Amino acid sequence: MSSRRNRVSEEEINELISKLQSLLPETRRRGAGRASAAKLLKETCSYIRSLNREVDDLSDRLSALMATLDSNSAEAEIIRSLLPS
Amino acid sequence: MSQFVPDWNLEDGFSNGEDVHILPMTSQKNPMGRDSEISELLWRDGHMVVHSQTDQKGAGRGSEFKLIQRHEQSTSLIQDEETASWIQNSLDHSMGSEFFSEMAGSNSISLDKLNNNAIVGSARCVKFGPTIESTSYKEDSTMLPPILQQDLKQPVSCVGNGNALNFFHFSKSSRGKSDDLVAQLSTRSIGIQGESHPCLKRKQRDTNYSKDQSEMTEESLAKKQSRNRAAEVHNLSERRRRERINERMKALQELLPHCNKTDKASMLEEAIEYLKSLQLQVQMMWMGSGMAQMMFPGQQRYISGMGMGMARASVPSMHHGVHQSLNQAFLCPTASFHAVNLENATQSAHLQGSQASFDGFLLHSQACISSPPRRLLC
Repeated sequence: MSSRRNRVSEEEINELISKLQSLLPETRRRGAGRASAAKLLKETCSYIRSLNREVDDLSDRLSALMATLDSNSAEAEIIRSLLPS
Repeated sequence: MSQFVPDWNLEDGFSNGEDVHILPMTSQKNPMGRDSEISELLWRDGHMVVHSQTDQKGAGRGSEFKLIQRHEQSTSLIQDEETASWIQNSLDHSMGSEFFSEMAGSNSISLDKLNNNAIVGSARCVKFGPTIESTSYKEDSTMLPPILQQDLKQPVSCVGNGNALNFFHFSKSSRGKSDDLVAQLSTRSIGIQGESHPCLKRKQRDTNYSKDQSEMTEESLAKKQSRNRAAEVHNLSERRRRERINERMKALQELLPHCNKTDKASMLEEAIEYLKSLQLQVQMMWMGSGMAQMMFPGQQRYISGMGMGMARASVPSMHHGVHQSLNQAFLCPTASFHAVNLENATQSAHLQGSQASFDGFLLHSQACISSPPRRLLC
């Protein structure tokens, strides 16, 4: 059982969770009330995974695009900076 | 002498299978009527009847109780002398002389009949009503009327200890104190079964009993049990919920890169930061690819995909008449990206390194925007 004086109070955690919720894309309900913590965490995980996939796709495209560029050009430099690796 | 205690609603019954159910079962409504009504439980002709003071239908009301006494005549029911004397005393103390005299009267009447049936402890005259509040069950055997006392001197032996005296079948509705009185009657009888001279011991047990039994009436017991069960269920569901949350936290931790923290708060903070940076990165990459596509019309097959992927901010399209979708696709990320960047870049440490290149990129993209048409037309 958690003691009364937690180092990190329950409120802080709730605050963090709602901050997290604000970052998540709410596709279904706009301005939805506070969903359960478990659901939010699950959504966060799936959102992070989808973002990672998106990054992978984009980096593929960027590398393909970069191939057409002169590797010394400024644009190539920029695109290279965008790539995750 | 027959060894039957005329206890009420004894489950094991008597040796000849008789049982005496005097008290109303819990499933019945309170037959005693309203709170303020005073009813009497009288023992008449081997029956227990209810005689209501306000309601003169004594006999009729008696039938409301589950009075089952099968062997009225032959049974010799020996009342525990303890109970009788105790009842007497309690009534003496609480009800005043008026009741006592009345009771004494009925005592004598009943006693005659009871004696015929070898029933000791005749007048179970228990009155229910508001006056009971001050009841204290202090014995004073000297208060007994002589008739009773004489009878009570006979040795009393009771039914085997296995009998469960079930006084609690009294209707508990709103009788409050009256129920307590009856409950205490019953519990007293329980406690003193099998004792020949419990009068003395009663005094000692008195305070204990009245206190314990008042707390542990059947109703409160049941309530406590149900409360305990509810608490258990609640604890279980709470535990399951917590486990689920911990699972999700672990999964989240695995997704976070370079996360060596284990406590919830810091993990949540890291998750928030990581999420922000991921979003930013994706936006930047979109922009970058949009720019790159702008510069190389040959890559147009990517455009539609990009256009669909955009759509964060609505930016007024530049009417160049050329590749509007491309422009929009490019402008959208720019606008939103710009806003996002101003908001996040200063906070996010991840962008520190790429800040310079990012600024350069912005300038470059803006330059591209301002003079794209000609190059695109080529």
